Amino acid sequence: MKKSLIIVITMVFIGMGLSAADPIGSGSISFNGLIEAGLYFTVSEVDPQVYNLIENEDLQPDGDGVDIGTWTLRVDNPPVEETDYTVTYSYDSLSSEETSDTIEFIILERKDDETLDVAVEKEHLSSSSITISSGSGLNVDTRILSARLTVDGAADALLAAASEFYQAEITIALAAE
Amino acid sequence: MKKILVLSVLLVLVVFGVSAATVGTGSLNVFGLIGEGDLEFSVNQTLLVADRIDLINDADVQSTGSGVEVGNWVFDAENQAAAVDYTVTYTYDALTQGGASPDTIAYELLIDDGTSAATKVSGETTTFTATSGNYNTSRDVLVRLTAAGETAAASAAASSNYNSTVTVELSTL
Repeated sequence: MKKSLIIVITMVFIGMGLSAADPIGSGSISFNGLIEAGLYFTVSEVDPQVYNLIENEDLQPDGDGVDIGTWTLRVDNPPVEETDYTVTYSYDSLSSEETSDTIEFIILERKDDETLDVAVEKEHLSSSSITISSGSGLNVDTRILSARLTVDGAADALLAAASEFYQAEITIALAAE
Repeated sequence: MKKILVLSVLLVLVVFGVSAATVGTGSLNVFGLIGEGDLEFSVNQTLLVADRIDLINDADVQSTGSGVEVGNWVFDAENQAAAVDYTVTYTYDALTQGGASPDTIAYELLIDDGTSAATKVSGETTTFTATSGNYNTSRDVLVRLTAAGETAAASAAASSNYNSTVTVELSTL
């Protein structure tokens, strides 16, 4: 009985020895890759048109404002560590080369899924902060920008020289902290 | 009379010469050997860590690309006694960059013998038969993302530390 058991065990070991791969040599190769942060920032005008600064009700200080543009921050490949971005607005009052009048206005900012009543006023040189988390996935933040006159701007408009060329340029700059 | 005498002497000499008996003989053997020669298997890194592959912008590493060479293996055997079947097995995991990011990016190997390239996923093998005598062969090892890996990379966290190690093992059965 014992002999049979020993023979069986021996045969099993021999079988395992024959069927198992016998490694002769090995080595390793590294695959080293990188993914750069995919960051895109776009600023777009919305339906450019000339607004009547006196008769357009939405443009008045108690109005909802008129949509003038949007900006979108898209981060396809966010940094591994959480990163803060700042969007800063720079602009002067409305003016025209034909006149010396200046008409003060203010920017209203809201998210693309928010309504006008929650828009936030953004004065010249004020900014918005956006935090991109370290998790993967697409990160898209779009803001809609409106404009309306300030109380002083509306008063100035009433007395300003007539012109079709009142204009202000708004610079929107993105910075990473 | 003289002529007859001379011819007779010559005849005697010829007869004696032809019928000379072998007195002894023997043979010698030449004994030689050729010992079994060296068998070398080396795995070499050709793409340095400083030359990291851009997983988004490098067209060759995309799923439809031709792959990027990262290394090779070389088999070199001398004075082998008999033909032997060998297997080279490739083992690796998806690219990761460690840290807190859970992103994993799948890829596949392209094993190029100089005329064509075969796709290999982890656990797959290359087989060849080394003939007796001298035999050498080699393969270039290239990498490219799978379609799923390409999709994962498009939204993965940015990092310069995506790594994966390919273990290449030679064995016989």
